[in-house]
Amino acid sequence: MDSLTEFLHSTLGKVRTEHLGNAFAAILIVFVGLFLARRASAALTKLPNLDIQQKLILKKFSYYALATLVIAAALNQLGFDLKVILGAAGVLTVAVGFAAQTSASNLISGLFLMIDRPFSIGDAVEVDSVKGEVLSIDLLSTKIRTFDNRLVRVPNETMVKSNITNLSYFPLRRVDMKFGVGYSASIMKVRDILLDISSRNPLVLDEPEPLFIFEGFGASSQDVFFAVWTLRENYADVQNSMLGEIKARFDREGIEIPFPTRTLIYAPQGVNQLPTSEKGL
Amino acid sequence: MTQTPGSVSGKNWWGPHQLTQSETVFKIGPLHLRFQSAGNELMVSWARNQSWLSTQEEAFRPNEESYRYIFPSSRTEITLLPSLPDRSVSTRFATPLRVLPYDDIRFFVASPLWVQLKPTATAPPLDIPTWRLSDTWFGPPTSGELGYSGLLPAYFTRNQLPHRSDLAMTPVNIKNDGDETLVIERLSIPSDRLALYYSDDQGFWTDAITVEHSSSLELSNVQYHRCPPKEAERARQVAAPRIGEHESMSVSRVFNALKNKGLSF
Repeated sequence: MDSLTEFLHSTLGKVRTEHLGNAFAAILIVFVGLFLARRASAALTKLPNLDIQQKLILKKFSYYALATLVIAAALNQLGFDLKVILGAAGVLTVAVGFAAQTSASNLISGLFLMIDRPFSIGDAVEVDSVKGEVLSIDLLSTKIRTFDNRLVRVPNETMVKSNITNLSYFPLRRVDMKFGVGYSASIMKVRDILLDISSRNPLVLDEPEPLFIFEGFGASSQDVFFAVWTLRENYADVQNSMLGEIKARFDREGIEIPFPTRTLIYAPQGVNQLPTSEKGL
Repeated sequence: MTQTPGSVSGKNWWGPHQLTQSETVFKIGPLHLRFQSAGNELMVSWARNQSWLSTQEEAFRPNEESYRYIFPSSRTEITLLPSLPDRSVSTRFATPLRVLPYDDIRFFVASPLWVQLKPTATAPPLDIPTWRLSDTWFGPPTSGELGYSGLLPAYFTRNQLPHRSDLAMTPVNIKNDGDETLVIERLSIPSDRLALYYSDDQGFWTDAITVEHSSSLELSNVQYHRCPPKEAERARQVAAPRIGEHESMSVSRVFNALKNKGLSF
């Protein structure tokens, strides 16, 4: 009996010592590994040609990937069979994937947005009926602040599927103006006035040149298309100043901007009345 | 120079000034620059004539822009410095210039000066153009460079040059090394890359520039002569280039511009 007790004590002691050593090693792997993972992911953000959003995503992804490896190494050190764990993880991934298809789609779409970079944080964009400034491009959604200061969360899947108009991509914008002038006005005089107004506006670029197109004879007016170029940040100022100056100058020059008119002629009773049969009665 | 109480005009507008009166107006070409001081407060406001090159006196119109400085104590000294525009300035020729093959020509282009106001020695300068030129764009709409545009006067003989305290003359040499006639409709002066010089008898001048154009190359060599031009040899430098101070040569894309629109350094 004594010999059995001694045998058990010595065996359990070895087992405890061995387990304690493994546990200590695993803890060390976790602490050192996570520390190194954090440093490595931070170092990756110093790669050139990355914007803030890409750096953030790269940092998160690299950290979580390295942390997974560290935890796997620690579990291995503790004696767990990684094949079983990986198998279970695979089954779990399939189950979660079926259960969260939308989230997975948004996640992958988010990655595509990061790679494709159709817009960046701070850009003014138009997606479907939403127009505003991009606040953030997150893993699942893109946050847009509309110009009247509302927050719109657009799922990344929608962003990938939709036509996105990036209003900030190029440094220049064209300000288009359409209006009609009365039939009494000389269209060449109108053209000269418009070019003169644009040349006097310091925010209007003289290159690319303003564009004047006489679009044709409308129902009530001669229709004109006039477009000028400006820096994108001056777009609203130029549109306001140009339209205001055009109206004031036309008023001074006696050029009418007509509104649609319709002439109604009241015929005396009985004149030109259709026969009853032609009225379809 | 004409000087009346509270009013400064003529060529001595730049340098340190004592604001001895509650209101002082500087007339620098088309620019009316007004200082109103009261105690430790200084209000700077400016307006411009209707026409850039007009020499007619115009009344001070309602303020276009203004700045208001507050100092810890009363301050009566300000410094005005002359400088060149902070971007390239582009001009058009009403009738295009034609430079024959293997010819060298030299002419002069006048640019409006900018006034740099320094309310204190260490304060960042406030740039005030004597004339606000229109914006323009060099290059395709998708990428390019912002510049200024205006109908800058060009002079082809030295005796045509005006003596004005708000203009700087840039001597431009063009060497047509190609075997085709060079047609110049538009010219761009790289004002932000030029130094500014002044002499009492010759006024403001910039570095001369030389453009060597070859029809076989898309890019042209542009040389900045980092010294007072020969028309004002005794002039001294009063402002360094805003950028590229130590550059003496650059290579610029001018060939398309030459073919289509003009010459852009």
